[in-house]
Amino acid sequence: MHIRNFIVLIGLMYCSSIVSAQSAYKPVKDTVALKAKIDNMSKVTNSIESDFTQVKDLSMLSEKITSKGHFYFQKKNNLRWEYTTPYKYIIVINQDKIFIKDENKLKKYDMNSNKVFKEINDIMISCVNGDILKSNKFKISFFENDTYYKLELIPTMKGMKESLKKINMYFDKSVTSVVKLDMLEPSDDITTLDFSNKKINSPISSEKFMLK
Amino acid sequence: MKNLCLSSLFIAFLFGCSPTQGYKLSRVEIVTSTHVRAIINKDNSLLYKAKINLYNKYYGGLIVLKQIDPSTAHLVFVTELGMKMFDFEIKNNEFKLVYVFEPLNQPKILKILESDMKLILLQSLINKEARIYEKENECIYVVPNGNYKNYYFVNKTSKTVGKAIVKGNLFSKEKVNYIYNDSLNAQQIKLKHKGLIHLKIELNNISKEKQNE
Repeated sequence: MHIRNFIVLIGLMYCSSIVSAQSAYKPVKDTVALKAKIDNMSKVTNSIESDFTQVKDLSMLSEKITSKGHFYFQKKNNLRWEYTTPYKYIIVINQDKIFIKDENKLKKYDMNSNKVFKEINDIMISCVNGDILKSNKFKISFFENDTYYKLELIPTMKGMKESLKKINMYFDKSVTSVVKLDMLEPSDDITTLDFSNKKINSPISSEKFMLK
Repeated sequence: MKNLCLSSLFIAFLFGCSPTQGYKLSRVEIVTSTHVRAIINKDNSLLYKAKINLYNKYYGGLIVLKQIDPSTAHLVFVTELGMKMFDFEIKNNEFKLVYVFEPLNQPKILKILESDMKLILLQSLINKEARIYEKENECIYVVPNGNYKNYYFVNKTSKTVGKAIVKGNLFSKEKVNYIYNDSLNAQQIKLKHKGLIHLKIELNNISKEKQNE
């Protein structure tokens, strides 16, 4: 698989979640209006703070691995994923720097010298704020039920299709933020991310985007 | 005379390096699950925090060991972000690579990983003929492994493997250390290569309680 697609997949891993049973989804009639709402959401969202639950469902093993933590996003290029369970692991993106803290080991990378991280950053942020709609890497279909809008993103790039079958991205009906996402792999494994206790546009300390 | 002394010292050195020194050859047998306690738990899946350092690259994540039917188990490695890196199926004691993430799909890397996972999970021991050495409450199971020999140090009472060494005529090239919890599941497994292959693997068990926090 091409490295670019590999990177894209890593980014998308951040953008997955599972959705509990809800009323049936039907196609959105006015997709232009929905796209405009999502576009507006991207424009007015300056920061997001929330808890998240990540579930990796290994279908063949009937095994689920659950991780939990806190998530922070600050426009334009600041991101923090802080895993707290089952162990501590932090990844921070601060403008052109990326930091990873695995237990007590800290690693620092320069985004500009590394296309890999730049692309990870772009994808993670576009997933969070809805900008991924502007990507040409997916064929997007729009659905809705009583609770959510659901966007189905089917990869169009050959390399990515081998590792990723589909992404489902969920927005609340007011389209204030991405609330849930799930990523389906060809093997039917699913990686999910579910955001909760969300605070939109609340101030976030700049220290959250620094790691020492 | 000088050469004789050097030769004697060299021979003494070789014998001194033998892991079985101080142990007595007891018997030669085919090793079964009655001899040693398996690392994979037949009843419960095991989850490990994994740290793999391979040729200056670090791969962190989680390893799941799970028995899915009486003859089949899986070893799956996923990153913290949920990305599956590789999936080995272990069926009737044979290893089969079910999935590998493309950047890791390099014969050299896969060969080392498979070999090491076999060593760690005792697949290089079970169903193999072993020379069994004994001393007090410990046995050493010695199994040929190409130009090397695998030495598994087994506690006679618990039947757990405390240490495994892969050794040639002169030097050891790999060492695995195991620490067990009260349930006799491996709490920590550390593997280290010596010599040209720069690989370290450390697995730390994540308890069910910790997973459910």
